[in-house]
Amino acid sequence: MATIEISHLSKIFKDPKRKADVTALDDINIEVAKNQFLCLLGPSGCGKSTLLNMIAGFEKPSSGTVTVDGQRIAAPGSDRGVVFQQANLMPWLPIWENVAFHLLLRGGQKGERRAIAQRYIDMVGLTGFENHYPSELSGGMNQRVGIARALLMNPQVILMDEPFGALDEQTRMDMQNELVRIWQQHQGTIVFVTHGIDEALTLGTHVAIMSARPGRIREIIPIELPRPRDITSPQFNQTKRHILDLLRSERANQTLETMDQQ
Amino acid sequence: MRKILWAALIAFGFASLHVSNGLAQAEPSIKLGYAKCAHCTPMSLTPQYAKGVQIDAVGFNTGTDALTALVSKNIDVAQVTYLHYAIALDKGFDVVAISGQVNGGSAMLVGNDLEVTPNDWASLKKVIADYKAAGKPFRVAASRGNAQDIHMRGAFAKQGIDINKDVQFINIPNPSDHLQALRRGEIELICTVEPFATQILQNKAAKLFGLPYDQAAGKLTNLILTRSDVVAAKPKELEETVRAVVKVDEFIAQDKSALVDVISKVTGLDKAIATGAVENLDPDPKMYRASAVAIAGMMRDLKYINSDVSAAVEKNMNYTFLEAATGKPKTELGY
Amino acid sequence: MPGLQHLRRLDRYVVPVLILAGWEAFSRSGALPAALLPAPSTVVWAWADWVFGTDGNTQTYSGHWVYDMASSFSRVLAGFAIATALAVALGVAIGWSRATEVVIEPTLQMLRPIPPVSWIPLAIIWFGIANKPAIFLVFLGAFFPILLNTIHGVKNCDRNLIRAGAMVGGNNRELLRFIVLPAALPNIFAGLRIGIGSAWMLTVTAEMVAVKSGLGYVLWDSYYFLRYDLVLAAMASIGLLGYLSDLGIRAVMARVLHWQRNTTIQGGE
Repeated sequence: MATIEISHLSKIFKDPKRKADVTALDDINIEVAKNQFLCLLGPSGCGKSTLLNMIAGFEKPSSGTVTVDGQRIAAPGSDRGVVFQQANLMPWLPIWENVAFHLLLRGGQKGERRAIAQRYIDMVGLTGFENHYPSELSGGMNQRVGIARALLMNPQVILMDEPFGALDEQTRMDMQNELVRIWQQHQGTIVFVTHGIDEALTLGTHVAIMSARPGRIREIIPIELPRPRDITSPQFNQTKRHILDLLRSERANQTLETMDQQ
Repeated sequence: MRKILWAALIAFGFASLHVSNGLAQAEPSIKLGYAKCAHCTPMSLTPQYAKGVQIDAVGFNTGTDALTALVSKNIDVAQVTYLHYAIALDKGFDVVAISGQVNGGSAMLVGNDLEVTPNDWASLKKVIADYKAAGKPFRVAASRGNAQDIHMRGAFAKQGIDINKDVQFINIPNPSDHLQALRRGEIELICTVEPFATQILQNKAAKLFGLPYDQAAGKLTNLILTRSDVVAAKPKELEETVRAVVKVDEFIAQDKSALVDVISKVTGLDKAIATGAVENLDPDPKMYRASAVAIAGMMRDLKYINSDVSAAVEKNMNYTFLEAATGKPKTELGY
Repeated sequence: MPGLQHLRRLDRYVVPVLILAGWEAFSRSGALPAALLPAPSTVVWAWADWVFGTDGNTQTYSGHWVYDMASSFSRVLAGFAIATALAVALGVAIGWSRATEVVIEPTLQMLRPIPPVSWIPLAIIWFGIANKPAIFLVFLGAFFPILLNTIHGVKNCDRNLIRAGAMVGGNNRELLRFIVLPAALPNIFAGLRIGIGSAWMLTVTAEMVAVKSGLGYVLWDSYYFLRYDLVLAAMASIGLLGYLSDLGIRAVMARVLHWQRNTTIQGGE
């Protein structure tokens, strides 16, 4: 049994004000096996974040099912960690409390919580910043806190929604390397949403190409390149060209459609 | 075109208001303020009895508010009490007393379960002594500084009860709160004012002990005041006003039901209470000089005022209007 | 804040000093009888006697100020504390649960415009005379500002923080306690500051009702005896205590909200 099974998933957003329903996702079928790193790649507005939210449990499907480890998803839970686009840390808590937030809710002893948090703070390379507040750290550092927070829950699945989108190129590349390192050390299934082809190819074991509105899966490509991924290698760029072609034909189809409608 | 017409209409409206205002002010007028207690309500009848002067009677919540309006020159004449007169003189305000109005209206009430015989001071003193022996405070209440407070203190002093040592004084400024205080058993004795006293008795929240008039201040309560600048500028109007007060007093003295009616109308209390209240009211336009001086002395002793105003009390009582209105000499008018 | 450098330390006193000087001149000019509008010097003299018993000119109140201040302060504290507890609890419930909002809020909005003064008769019937009705009136004044600000703070809680909380496995109660309430604290404190001001304003109203001591009581009693200098001294005392109470709340606020130091204009003060 795959860890994540998405079967005939559709999502329609009703808009009573404008009387035009938007089909965000149309008949999505995906299986993600254990310890796979799946990247959801697609242009803006293709519904990849919506898809991730449904796995996370923040939104409910209009039809179809999402199953994690055999359980249908009805609500968010600590078995699926989420790293958001904005770090979404509690601004009134220091870093270590944010990382150990899961334990705070469970009601553990302060000393224990702190010790456990320290492990994950070290893991994401933020040693020394435990007592700082989110407002005192940079965006990239806050994202690392978000990752540590998700990791601490030891979830089966980690869902990441364009977490490096707001970072500069250099920091982004560093964070990508960090993430791969942590994933390799920690194991676990990751679903990663991005609109950057390089990023998808650098990180994922599989890349799912999505088409824009309504969102559909065009193709799921397994990536068998050796790690660390070399973005200058010919195999990397071959795959990249393939993906670009797919995306271009997507855009052409879209343009044709809109021309038809006019 | 329509806009111009509207503007003209509005302007004309304002102009005519102004003109009619001016016309109304052509007749001599007196602005008069009174408080809303039972004995003060007949003042609302003075406009009807005034000849040759337009009396604009305005009701105030308390005598102090009326006095404030008088000294800040917002009204010409104020119905207040002898105590307000002394306080105003103590503060150096320019006030002139021109007439009495209605006296009485004070009543001492005790809690229903107290073993006290009406008008028997000995029984009251015994209960006070019992309380003292048991270490319980005998709580005595009034609205501090008004006529009822003075009457009670005078009566107590005359009977040899030390209000500072033998009992515990509690100030309940608003007479409408007296009923609740008695009903809840928060005080043992109260000296209150009509019509609240009757209201309390009819609601059986307390029983009557007696009337506190056996002391230097007697039953003196209300006094009509004005200022010396009004005396200089509007003597005729003041004379007519005093005449109206005297006529109202005669009217309600003869016809008690009329007094009941006016009390009901102004205070909103029902006729039964008003009827009980009028029994304790004494319409009397005379001004009592000697007692007024005694009241000023009492207030000085009680530290309600700072200085000795006896001379000012005598000097500022102006009997000329009363003499003109009644045709009697001041020696027959309380001098 | 920009532009503070060119203001010298004494500049904050210019306006009050000018007002006091003008007032003193006006009183001494005799345009109004001296007893009606006492000069600041007279007020200070009366105030001095009220506090220290310097020369007995306030007679029964000589030296009584600390006691009056403590009476009023204890009533304000009690009313304010009850108002805070009730308003925050109700505010969180109304802000969080649409069902609670629909059931309770319209009634509260209808009660809100009723001026506390008009509650006096009911207050006496329910609570008698002395401290309790006064505390009730103070409560009424402080309750609504705190309630409204709490509701606002709860409703404005960043939805993404709630999502993060749900993600780490929090149930509704945990979300309320660990996320919504802390997130609403800046708004709640704003409400507390407004509330304490209202509470002190109502001291005068509250102490019309048969209390035996207190700054408002002295104000009414002095008015009765035409002691306007004491009336003004009482007003100034209430203003002073209101200001000090507000300082107290701001100090607590600075400590609790220390995390806002780098992120808000206020935190940078």
